[in-house]
Amino acid sequence: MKNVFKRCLKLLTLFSSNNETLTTNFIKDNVAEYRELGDSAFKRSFERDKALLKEMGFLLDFENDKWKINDGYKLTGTKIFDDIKSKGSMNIENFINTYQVIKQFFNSDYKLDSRNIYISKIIQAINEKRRISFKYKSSLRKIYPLGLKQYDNQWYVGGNEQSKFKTFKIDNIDDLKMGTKSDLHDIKLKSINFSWEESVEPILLELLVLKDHYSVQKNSFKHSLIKSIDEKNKVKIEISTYDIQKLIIFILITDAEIIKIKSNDKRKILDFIYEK
Amino acid sequence: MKNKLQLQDFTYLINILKDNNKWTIEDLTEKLGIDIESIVYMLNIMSEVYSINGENFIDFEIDSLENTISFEYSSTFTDLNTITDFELFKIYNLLKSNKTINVQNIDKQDLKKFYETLEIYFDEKSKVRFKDNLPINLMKEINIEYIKIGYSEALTYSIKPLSISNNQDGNVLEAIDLIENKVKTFLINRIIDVNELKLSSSSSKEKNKEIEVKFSYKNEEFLNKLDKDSIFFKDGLCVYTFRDFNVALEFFFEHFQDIKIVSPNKLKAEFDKKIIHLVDMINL
Repeated sequence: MKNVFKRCLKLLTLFSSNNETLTTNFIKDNVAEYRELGDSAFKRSFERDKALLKEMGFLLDFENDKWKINDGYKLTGTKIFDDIKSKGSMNIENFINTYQVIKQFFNSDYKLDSRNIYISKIIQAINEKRRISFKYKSSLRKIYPLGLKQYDNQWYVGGNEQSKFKTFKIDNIDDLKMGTKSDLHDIKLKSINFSWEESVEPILLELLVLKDHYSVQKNSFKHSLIKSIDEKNKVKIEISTYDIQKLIIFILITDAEIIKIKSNDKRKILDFIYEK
Repeated sequence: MKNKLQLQDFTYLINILKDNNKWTIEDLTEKLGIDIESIVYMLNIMSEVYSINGENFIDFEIDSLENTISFEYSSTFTDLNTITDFELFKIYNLLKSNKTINVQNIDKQDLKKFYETLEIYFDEKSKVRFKDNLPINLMKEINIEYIKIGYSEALTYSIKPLSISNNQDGNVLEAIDLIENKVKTFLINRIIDVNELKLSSSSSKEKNKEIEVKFSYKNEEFLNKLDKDSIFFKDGLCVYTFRDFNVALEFFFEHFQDIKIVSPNKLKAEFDKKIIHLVDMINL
């Protein structure tokens, strides 16, 4: 592993001191451990090192825009820290100190689905109003990303696809590419709703549930709490939700009692149960 | 020496070192959370890295009398940005989902400012703000009231919290169970109260009775939630051993549309009973 660490650090320093794209030959000539290798061995080592850097968020991608004269590799993935530093939105020393303290107590080495690595490019595309393309459950999608949303421990990107607003689960995105042109649209977004929230009416119901159960499970489904009344160790809640599947799971797990529900909504839940 | 060094250990070391040109060994090991042998091993590797103009990436000298290390950094070293967007995203993901935990080891104002700075980049502008419901001082021994997966009653655990992390079920508190003397993970959204340490009130020590379940499935999405090494497929069915009956029951509720219990009968009957009860409640 010693050589791998050394090569990766050399790659980082090489790209850090060169803002332009670097050709494969230039990289090979300037990293001593690559220089001695034959073409196929170099390719294998370089791909392995790229993958290791990518796991950490350093993205080494080949840029071959047809309008550019110089093709080559470019290192991205550290734009946010650079941006915070240049904009001065927070005192950078305080930011680094807090980052270091957080690192002591929050373990950021945890495994997130590897596809979340695309977050860096998605954010850049949102901020610079670029288009992205990606494979989504085997179909090719091209969208203008507008914002992110977190729900049930999952991250989603919301965007405009052929004049329609849609949400895409980042875990299902593959092979994401960002367009080279910026400022492509002027679409403004106040909040992100899931596609199904736009088209259906929410379910309204009243439930009686143990307080502890509600406290533990309340984030497991997206709902609006209209009213809540404490009743000893239970709580009577009036809620609205679009998320029928997670509502059913919530009721099953918490043993919640349904107090009131409209007949239309009864039908919706039963249809969902019998669909299984 | 640390068993398995990773590339992020190097980038974090770079980030820390930049603060000073001279470190006491004690400060450095404490701040990095690794032993001096590992640090020296990493420094040796880094000292063999040269920038494109032949400049040494880093030079260091250990003073064993004073127990200090002095450094000379190249401009490439000081300019190198080691904090990636992806790492900030992972930290943000932890902070965002842990709003009910008030980690008292970190200054509240600094943490708030840090979170708000990252929020500009990652969030859809949600209106949720920090709440100080459950104050936890990491490294300080406490009692927690915790509802285990599949259970309705809270159990008391005497723990020493270590760090906050994430797994496929959500954010977790990693802590030493002081009664069983082993490291456990607790899902943060299942901690309902935090109290002063009182070992005698701990009720955590209990035996789980494992249960083997056979089930059919429509798709394989559920696989992410299970330990892949413990799943077996036989005659078109999936076989998996759950920690106990209630954990299994909750798992099947969560996937009620996609999987169907084949055996054991006791679990199947309980599952069907709950579904029938729900349907009856709706039909009333």
